[in-house]
Amino acid sequence: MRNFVSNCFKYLGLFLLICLGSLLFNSLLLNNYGYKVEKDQNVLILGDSHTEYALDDTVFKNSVNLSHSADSYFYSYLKIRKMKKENPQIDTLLLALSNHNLLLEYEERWIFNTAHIKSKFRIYTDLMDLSDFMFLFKSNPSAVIQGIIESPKYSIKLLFNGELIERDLGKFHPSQRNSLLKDIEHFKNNKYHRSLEYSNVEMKYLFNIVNFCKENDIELIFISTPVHPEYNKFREKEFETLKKFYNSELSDFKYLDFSEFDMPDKGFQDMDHLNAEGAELFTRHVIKEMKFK
Amino acid sequence: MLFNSIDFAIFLPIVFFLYWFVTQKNLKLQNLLIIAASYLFYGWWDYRFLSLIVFSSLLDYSIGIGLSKYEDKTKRKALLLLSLFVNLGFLGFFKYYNFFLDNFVDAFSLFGKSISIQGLNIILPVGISFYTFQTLSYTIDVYRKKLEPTKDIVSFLAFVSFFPQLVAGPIERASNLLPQFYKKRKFIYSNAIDGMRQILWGLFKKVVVADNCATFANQIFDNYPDQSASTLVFGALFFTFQIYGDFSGYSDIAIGTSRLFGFNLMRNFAFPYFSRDIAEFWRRWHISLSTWFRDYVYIPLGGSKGGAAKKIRNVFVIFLVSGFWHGANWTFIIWGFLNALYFLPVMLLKKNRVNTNNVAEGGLFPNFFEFRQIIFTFLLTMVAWVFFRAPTVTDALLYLKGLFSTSIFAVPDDLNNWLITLAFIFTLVFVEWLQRDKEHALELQSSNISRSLRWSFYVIIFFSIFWYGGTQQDFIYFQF
Repeated sequence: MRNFVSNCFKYLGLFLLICLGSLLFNSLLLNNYGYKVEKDQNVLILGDSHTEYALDDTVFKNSVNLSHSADSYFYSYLKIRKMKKENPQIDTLLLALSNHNLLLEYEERWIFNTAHIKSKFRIYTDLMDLSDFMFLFKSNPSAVIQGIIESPKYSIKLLFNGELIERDLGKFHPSQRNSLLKDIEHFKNNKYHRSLEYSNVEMKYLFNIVNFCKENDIELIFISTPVHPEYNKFREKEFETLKKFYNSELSDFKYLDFSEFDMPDKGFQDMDHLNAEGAELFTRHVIKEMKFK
Repeated sequence: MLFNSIDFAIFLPIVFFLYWFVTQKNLKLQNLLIIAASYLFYGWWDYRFLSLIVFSSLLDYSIGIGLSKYEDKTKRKALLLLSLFVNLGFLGFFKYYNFFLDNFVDAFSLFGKSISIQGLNIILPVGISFYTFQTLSYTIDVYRKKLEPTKDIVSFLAFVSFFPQLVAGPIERASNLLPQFYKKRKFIYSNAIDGMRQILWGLFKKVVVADNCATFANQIFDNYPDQSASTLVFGALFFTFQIYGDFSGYSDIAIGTSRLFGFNLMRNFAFPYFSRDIAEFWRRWHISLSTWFRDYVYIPLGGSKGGAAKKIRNVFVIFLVSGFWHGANWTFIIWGFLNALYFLPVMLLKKNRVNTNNVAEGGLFPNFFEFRQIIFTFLLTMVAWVFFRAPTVTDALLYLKGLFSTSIFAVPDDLNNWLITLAFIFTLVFVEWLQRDKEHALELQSSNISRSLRWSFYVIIFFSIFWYGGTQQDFIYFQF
């Protein structure tokens, strides 16, 4: 019996050591990678897939787009904190404000969901301080443990690939996908309307970003990217709620609302995301609008 | 509580510690701990249904005592009928009420009369089919005087609720499991270690094979009208391995966990996909249920004795009842019917007991004839699983119709996405083939494989569970 228990402890200890060692290894490796941007890049773009597909930072030369699909404001907050520290020249943050980011439904999908935490945890571990870690751990301990257990797999990938391709902090994605017609059809058959209640957690991290920008003299500009008119019609109430929220809580900050931007159909990959062609057109317009050269 | 959850990973060591270090000296206390742990395990899912288990257990315990007091046949029969009525009544209500109601309404509409009766919103208590059959086996065996009724209520409650096998089997016989609660269990190191290996392999089958297969099987079955024939073949293949990995994986974890506590449960799967005929398949698949039906339904009906008509009737009865046991849906009944059709020629030609040994015994590869038999049996099984998986009989038929198309020769669009899962299926088949003469696939201690190689294999299996586990899914058999 003693033999059995001591062996169990031995192997469990070894396993935990491997996981924690890998986590540390990943963090050390990642800490030295990927945060420094060019000196003339002073505009940081953060957000979810809307800005990820819409703002081309190869066109918008003095910007760096670190938007990532399904990034909640929690992860955007981690990123702005780190990026500002590593790149003091950043003086403008272009932050996605879409119709759904703040919805309560997205709190579960984009923050607390197990698969979501597992996939984000390995990317953002090194950006977290103890309180961020504890926030996730208290919300879903199982997912965080699973994320830690996955660390060695990530380390092996990093070592074997010889490059940090798994490190996907976010970037502009030029998309060639064309699902607009299918998507419109899908929306026509879809009668489901999401609850308009906002998530307190998402709002808390949005205001953390707001405060961080204020404290660090960063100009915060909110941006809504173009969506198809059919989408606008279908999600009309969500846009109305968003506008009300902006007017009551965020009106001190500039808001570039391009949700009704006149984008031809060929610029969309689906109803609420632009393709590469649309992104180029839109980015040029944003530059003009913001008078960024 | 799911075996593949963090909750269980915390629960198990705590119960293990209390069992072997705190209550070890007192058998009654140890059995009480099992009851408490089992009720907690079950109540984690929905504590309200604990009352059903407690009620069922107390009823059958009392009926057992009653049977020991009476010699009068009528009274004994009445007690048995009471047990059958109450236990099957619960099962019937929770599982089949809405099914019968819907079919009753449909039947009326066939005669041009339409009636409207509102169905009930009934939650099916997890594992009800399993523990009901387990307690029934006790009462029937006591009635038949094959088993002494127990006066030890603590052991009886522990026997009915024993957490490793409470919600999805193996459906234990009282004659095997109950006596194990009467005597002090001894911790045997080699058994515990082998139990751990069996748990490891069970988790691999469930988390890596079944859960990954589930993702693709769901995608294909949910969108079957838009899929090519070759994709549909893969859909059926994924479900075939999903259900095997899911259910046999659960059984392996249950048996392995029991061994950690000094119990031996019956074997539930014996590498069924290597069967050479359908009779052999049914001797190897869900053994605890097949033997239950054999002993309590098939043999009392006359089994394979008597004329051809009686034999045919008995085969259909047992397979249809088995199908219906799985769920209140015509798809399960058709699945049972199909298996009866497969079984019938084998039985009528008296070939149902030809393949009782392991295939290719003593050799590495089967001969061509055996290989052909295995593939043929596997394909028959795969077709039957389409009915098991499809939401309706019409969907199953349309799914099968979709296979008859020239697109069967097309390379599926998603083949690249499936490669890792197919590699896991291959690993499962490969390892189980090599170990087919063993109790479970990781029973490696007596093999001549070097220690370092064995350990490397364990480590790979261990990490693949964490790294390549599919999206967590409930065990399929929980719904039965």
